[in-house]
Amino acid sequence: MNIDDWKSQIKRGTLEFCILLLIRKQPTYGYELISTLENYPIMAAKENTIYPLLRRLLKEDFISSSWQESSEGLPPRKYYAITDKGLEYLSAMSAEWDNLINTINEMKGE
Amino acid sequence: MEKTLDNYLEKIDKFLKPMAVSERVDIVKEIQSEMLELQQNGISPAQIIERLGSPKELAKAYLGETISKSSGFGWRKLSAVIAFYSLAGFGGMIVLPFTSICGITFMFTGVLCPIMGIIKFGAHLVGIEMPQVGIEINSYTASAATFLPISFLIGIVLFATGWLFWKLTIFTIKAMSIGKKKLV
Repeated sequence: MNIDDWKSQIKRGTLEFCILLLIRKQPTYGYELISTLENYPIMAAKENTIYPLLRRLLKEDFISSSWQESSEGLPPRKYYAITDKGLEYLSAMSAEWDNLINTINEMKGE
Repeated sequence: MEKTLDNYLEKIDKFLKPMAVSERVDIVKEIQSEMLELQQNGISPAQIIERLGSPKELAKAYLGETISKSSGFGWRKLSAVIAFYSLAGFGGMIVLPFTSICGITFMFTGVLCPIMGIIKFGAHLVGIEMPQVGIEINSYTASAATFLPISFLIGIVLFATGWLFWKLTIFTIKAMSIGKKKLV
């Protein structure tokens, strides 16, 4: 039995949702986001997934970005923040997510 | 900054040539920022590079996302497509060149055809006949006036064919970049 393929499909479908949720909490920079995701093995993703995904979310205006100086010798960081359009998208996603969970629970007979 | 890391960034920059300069600079700067932060945390350059993966794979991820998400046709997109399949390996070496070249050629001839129709018609109006341009089936030869609408029709068919090939190219790249992107 190989569950990994299925897990990676779930991740592919929900990573965007998770990233927007994290960015909504507070403006975040790329590496911080990747480190946070590392704490959740089901959602852990590498740079070559996260950075291009962030670029796409930027292009679609769901998030905005700004370079900010950081303290003591650290390089400037590119911070991402959620936009109004992003919030709208996120609430639509949340509704569908609840819908999915309810459907599955119902099918499980819970 | 460490030389190996600098080399890494230079390679990324090189692979992303088809992107707009401002975007490229921004991408490289963001990766560099992460490298410096990792270094600050005591991670060695070799470990940093291992973490980021090969510059080729990372650049390909950026290009793949750009190509499959922007719509339409443009020179920048075309060069991104070319850069992508130069990084994409064997499958890309056979299918993509065929579909993308057919796409561009058909679209080009599709534009050319009605232009020639107009030129022939224009020449006819000022009294010059151009028998080398036109359509000939057995003994039937279209006059300049009939050739004009025919040339537009042929042009549209050719252009639509090219457009389909182009769509197929984008579709293939999309499928490839999703296929390769195993989020494990």
